[in-house]
Amino acid sequence: MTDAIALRDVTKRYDAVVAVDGLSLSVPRGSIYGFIGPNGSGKTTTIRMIMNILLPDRGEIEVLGERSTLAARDRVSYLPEERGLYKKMTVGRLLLYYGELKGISRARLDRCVRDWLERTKLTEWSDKKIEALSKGMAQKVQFIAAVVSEPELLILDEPFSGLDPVNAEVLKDSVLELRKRGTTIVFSTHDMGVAEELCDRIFMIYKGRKVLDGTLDEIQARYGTDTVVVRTAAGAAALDGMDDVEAVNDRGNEQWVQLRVAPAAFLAKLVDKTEVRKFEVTRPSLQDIFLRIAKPGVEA
Amino acid sequence: MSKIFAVARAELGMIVRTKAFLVTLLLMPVFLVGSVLIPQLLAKHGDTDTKRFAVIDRSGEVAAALAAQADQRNAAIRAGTLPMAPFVPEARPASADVDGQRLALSQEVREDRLWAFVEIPADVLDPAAKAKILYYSNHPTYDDLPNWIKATVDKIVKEKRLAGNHLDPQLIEKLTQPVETQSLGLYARGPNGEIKPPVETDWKRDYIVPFGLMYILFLTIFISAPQLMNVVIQEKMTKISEVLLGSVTPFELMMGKLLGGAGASAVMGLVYVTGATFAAVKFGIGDAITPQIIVMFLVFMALAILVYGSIFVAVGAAVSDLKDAQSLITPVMLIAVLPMFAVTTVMKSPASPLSIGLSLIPPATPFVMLLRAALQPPPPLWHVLLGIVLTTGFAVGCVAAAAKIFRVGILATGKSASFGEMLRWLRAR
Repeated sequence: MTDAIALRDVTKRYDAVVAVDGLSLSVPRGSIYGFIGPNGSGKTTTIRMIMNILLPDRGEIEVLGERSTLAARDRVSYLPEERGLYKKMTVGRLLLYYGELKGISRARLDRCVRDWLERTKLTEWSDKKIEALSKGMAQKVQFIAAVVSEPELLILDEPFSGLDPVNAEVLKDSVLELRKRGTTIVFSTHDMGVAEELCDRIFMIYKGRKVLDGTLDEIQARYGTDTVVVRTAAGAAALDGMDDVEAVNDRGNEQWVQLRVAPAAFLAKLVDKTEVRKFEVTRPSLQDIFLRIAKPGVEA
Repeated sequence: MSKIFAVARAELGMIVRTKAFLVTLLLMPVFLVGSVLIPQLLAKHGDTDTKRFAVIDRSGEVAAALAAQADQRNAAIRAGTLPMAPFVPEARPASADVDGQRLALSQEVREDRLWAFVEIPADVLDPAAKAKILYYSNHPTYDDLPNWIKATVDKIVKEKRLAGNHLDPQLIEKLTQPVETQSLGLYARGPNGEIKPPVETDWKRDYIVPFGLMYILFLTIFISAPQLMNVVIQEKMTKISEVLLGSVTPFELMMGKLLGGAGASAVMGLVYVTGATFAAVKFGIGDAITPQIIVMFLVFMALAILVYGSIFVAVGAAVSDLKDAQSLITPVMLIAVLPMFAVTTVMKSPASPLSIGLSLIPPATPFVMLLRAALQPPPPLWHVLLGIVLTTGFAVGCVAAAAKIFRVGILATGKSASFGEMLRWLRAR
């Protein structure tokens, strides 16, 4: 079976700025694929090209086996980061309209709208105008608008941002349920925790180029075992001025430390400075890897 | 195509279900009828305060007759037949100190004891002297009194001059009655070969109906097109357009919006034309709004909304806020109102080279050709067809150009595009 998405040497320019530079990528069918990257790195441009909203200047894009991304459009759904809902429309009417634009029959749409409203506990809001909804409810409606057409490929841009934990969990469960049904999900996010938790594979774009692509294990293995988690009596202050430390990610009670030396050598020096309550050699988190690549002053 | 219609249906529904649309639909005729009726109503209930004025009659021939005429007029006002201010002349003897007397009377006017004062020259009866009546007042914009004085003194003086030459004023008036002209249409043959006499020229049929139809078209277009622009700006800013572009192409989205706007225009236009037809029937000129005219109205309305709607939609997509849109749209509006400036000329001579030329210049064609079609003589059919063909071509060009601007502009963020950038987008492949 072909990949859900295949990009081959895709480049997109905006005047003199190269937004995406020779990008190649394969998203396997049925996977949850995380797109990460700092703001302005080319994520949205890549997604817009996959959605056929923008055309590449060079390269090939294949979506669901179709060379013309336009041909696959009705089998693909997109939830952009900034939500777009008609405030004066009722929830039910809006969902039917968005589904209708995907070419879905009215009978199938009615069933899907009913199911999704029930699953997200919004049934009683069906006849209410969007402007009457809370932010969280509106976000759920936007999510339903993206999935109501039962797409084969679903592209979600920050689907959980601004949601309370309960509603975020409802949508996470929905995303996993969709994957079970065979939907391929591209998941663009700045929340590295969510990416680690949900994504089968992760792709990172930085300055228009691919800098990471693989499973979380593969990516972490590539970045070695130069990271330790420490908890000390002196806290993060204990690490100040230590030449062996490359970078510190202070997480309050614990610090994730990237080392320039072997962990044992570092531990020996640390116990001289303070009481060490926890010392664990670990692999760098996705957030640490992200920061190593994208923090100011670092060239990819 | 089905997606274009889906967008159009949603767009039409969103426009016609708004309170703003209903309010505009209902208030516009109220405003138009009001703008005609209210001034008439106000005129009837205008200034009815008595106006006293001093008369210095140096000829000694006019003041008494003027007072008699004023009495007659005031009696009519009191009887309720004239809803106007009574005029009360007060004769004042002429003083040797001419300027001193004028100064004193001016003071009385300033102190509101008089409204004005008037001087009748000594040689007013001598036609060779060409003497003038002098009217002094500090109410230069109130012209009822000086107009009445001018007309009344003129009549009195003419009668006196005729009598002085032993001519009977009544006989002269009778002999100098003007010859009236009756303006008629043309004779024609009826369906059974009978000769049909012409109908008399009627300003309602010949002026109000053609102008009204053109004005309705103008209103519907320039209510709907800016609404389309506002919707596009709003959807761009709220990122709704980005969601929609995940399902439809920019061209489908734009065409859907244009068709939705055209539908809203059609609803508005049909409501107004139906109202106008009822009014025309009530005034006995229902035959002036023929089915052909209504079809032509709808065709030109569809073309006009494609032309102006696509321009407004393109501008909406290219800007980031309404303020920037207004500055970009001003030149378009200036071009759009040009046909309105030519209305009088076209109505006077609908078949003149200027009228024909204007009616074949596409941005003006929908308005000017419709006006010509409703006027007598109507344009030949080939003028109408040529106008439709040219405007269709122009509309296709506008839509194609707007689609190019829309495609880029709708996803652009940051500052609004300039004319230069829009031209660059137009030239892009």
